[in-house]
Amino acid sequence: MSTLLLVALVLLTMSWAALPLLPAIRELYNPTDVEPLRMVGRDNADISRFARGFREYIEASLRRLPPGAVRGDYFGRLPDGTHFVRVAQLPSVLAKGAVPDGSHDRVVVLEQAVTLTGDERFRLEVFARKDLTGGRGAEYRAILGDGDVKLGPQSVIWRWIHARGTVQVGDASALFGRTSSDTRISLGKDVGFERMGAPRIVVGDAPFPTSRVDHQDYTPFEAPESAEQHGDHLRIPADVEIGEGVVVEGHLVIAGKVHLGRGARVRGSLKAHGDVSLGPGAVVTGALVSGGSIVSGEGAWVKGPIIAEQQITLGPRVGVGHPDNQTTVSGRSVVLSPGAGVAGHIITIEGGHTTP
Amino acid sequence: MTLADGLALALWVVVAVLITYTIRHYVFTLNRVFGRFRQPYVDIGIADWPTVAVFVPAHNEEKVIGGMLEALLAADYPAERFHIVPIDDRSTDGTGGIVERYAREHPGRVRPYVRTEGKPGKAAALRDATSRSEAEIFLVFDADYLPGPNLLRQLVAPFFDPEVGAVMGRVIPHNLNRSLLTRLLDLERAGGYQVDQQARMNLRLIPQYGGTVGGVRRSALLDVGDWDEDSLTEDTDMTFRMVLRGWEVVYQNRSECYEEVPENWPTRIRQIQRWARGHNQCLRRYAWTLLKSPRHLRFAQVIDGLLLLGVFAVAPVLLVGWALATALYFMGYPIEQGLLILFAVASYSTLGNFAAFFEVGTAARLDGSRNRIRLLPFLSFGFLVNLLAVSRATLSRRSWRAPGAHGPDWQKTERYRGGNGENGR
Repeated sequence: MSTLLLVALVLLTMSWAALPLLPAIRELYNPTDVEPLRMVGRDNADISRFARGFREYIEASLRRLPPGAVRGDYFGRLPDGTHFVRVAQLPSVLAKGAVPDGSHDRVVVLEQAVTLTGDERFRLEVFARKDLTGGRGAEYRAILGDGDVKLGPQSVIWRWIHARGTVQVGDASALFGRTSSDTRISLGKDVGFERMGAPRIVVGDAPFPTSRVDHQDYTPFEAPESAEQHGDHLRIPADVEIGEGVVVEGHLVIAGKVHLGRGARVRGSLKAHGDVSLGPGAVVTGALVSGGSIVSGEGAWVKGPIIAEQQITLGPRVGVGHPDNQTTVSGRSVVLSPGAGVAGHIITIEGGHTTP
Repeated sequence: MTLADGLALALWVVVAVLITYTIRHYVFTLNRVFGRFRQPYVDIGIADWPTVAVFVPAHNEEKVIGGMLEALLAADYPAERFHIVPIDDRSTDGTGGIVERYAREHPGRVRPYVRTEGKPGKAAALRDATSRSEAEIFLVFDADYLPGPNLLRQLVAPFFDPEVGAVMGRVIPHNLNRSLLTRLLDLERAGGYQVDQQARMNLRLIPQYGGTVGGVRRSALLDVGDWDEDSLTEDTDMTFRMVLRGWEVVYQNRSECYEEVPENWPTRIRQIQRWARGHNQCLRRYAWTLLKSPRHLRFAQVIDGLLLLGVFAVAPVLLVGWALATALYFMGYPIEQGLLILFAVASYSTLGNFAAFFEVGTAARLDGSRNRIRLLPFLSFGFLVNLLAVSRATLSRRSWRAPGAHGPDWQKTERYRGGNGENGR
């Protein structure tokens, strides 16, 4: 092999090896991605974040409108160019803003209480300064209500809904994204949801389930011999059945499954690595945590957060938290039965629904 | 058996160790790409929150502690349920004055603790501060961190689970535009947290409490015997004592906090050597106990725990492997081709604490940050520096002394905020 060929081979090999360094050197001296990573988790548990953001946007936009645009019904553009319609007198003007397929592609500002007929499709946000009553089968991108908002049956919310008053959701509706209210959310039958937050979230028109009176005359829990005390919790390395009317004092961690019998109580937090089932009227005064699923029987009550890595099923008239002491229900999916109530947040990963 | 046979056998052992770590990193990476993201507590936004003391251990932190306290005061945690405890441990700069000013302006919320005696050092400072606090949860932040307003709630949320003893959030460098080193550290951190830590959380293995952007439960802390003031890395030490006593350690990838990473190589080398010594100290203390497999730990947790403990000891093992392969080549020993290929792959894939290249690439993709991955080839150079620094620290006697045999002192990283910081390129 000639020297020239050898040199050429070496240079070729070095060039080949250095090839990956070219984009590296370019990125080093001409940085294109040098900003700190965005904190994606900052707003994770903030249910009404989008509603707040929209309120700031729409109120600032409306303030900047010309004087002629502040009275009566008005079609125009917000300062950023977004089309909008303000309904101050005649709800029928909404029809003028509809495109041929019947949908509305404007931000809608409702200055008065409005009752819609149904089957409308709002492609942009609706801002209702007074009560809003929707008809059957309507679809909304998002609703911000200063009063009560009542959605008709088979309504769809695509992104979020927030009301200062009550949010009442008709049967067979679907609530994608975030649903929140400053007072109460009432859900009909077979309503799908993802994330909700309100001092009272109830299925049906029943009052919020009240907490049970905790008596003193229960049978104390007798821990099995295998139980070990770790700090302030008792750990049991097996499945556990807590009998009817038995009371457990303190935090309990179960390595397997656990069932609380009728009226049993845990005065502390309860965690099971497996599934948890609460019998009728069972009470947990702390948090309830499961590595599997949680099924709570009729009339059970949990004061603290409920966290499950699989499904959470709240039976009829089950209560979680209290309007004056709100908490969170967080699971892969959540099923709510008639009369069940949660004070605080319901967070799902794959969605939840009320029973048909 | 000839000398060459013995060396070849040793090389096989080295390759076996490296392959084990390679498999571990691939499992983690594949889990993050295809597995279920497990973060059951982070969405708890409303609850009856426990009382919290936020400890900020500080020794000569005048450049950064003001920013840290401002960030904590802006936290949306119920004000009556938390207070901030800047622990000024014998600072000789303006740290004490800054802390005093904040205490005057925010009485009750900022409660400084000034240490003038006792053992110096973070663990000792935390131990003393813990004994003076009645809070249920202790959160710990280094003074150069910048927590967002929701972070305290997110870090406290896992403690509603009565089995959780410690929680760790994700650390994100914010000074990455300062030098090549800061950008490489940004990549390493991304791989280490986004892939490595989160995969361990997903797989229910042993996520590591990292000593900052995290916290511990008071009752768990007391159950495991408080902070060990003789430990070089009180975080790793706490992780293993918690796990061995049956407490869970939780990692939350979405509980993010900005930090300042070293901007020059000498600082970085000192930092990683301290980590290596502390980690090896824990390896010495806990490996045998872990091998005895307490009944509450699954087999996979034991294996993961051992590999986590040994992660810094891999660096000299890799160097030994290279030396063995070279020696065997010059001795004319016919090394099996398969062995060499395995060795090459394992060398590439096993980078100890410094996340493997494919973990970094995966993390960049998961973070939605594409262009920074172009710097990946430079990570090889960073890896070589780390390899030598960690090997040196690992082979030093200090790594293997019993806790307490070294002199206690403050092991802290140089701060840059306000400096020019262009010294690493």
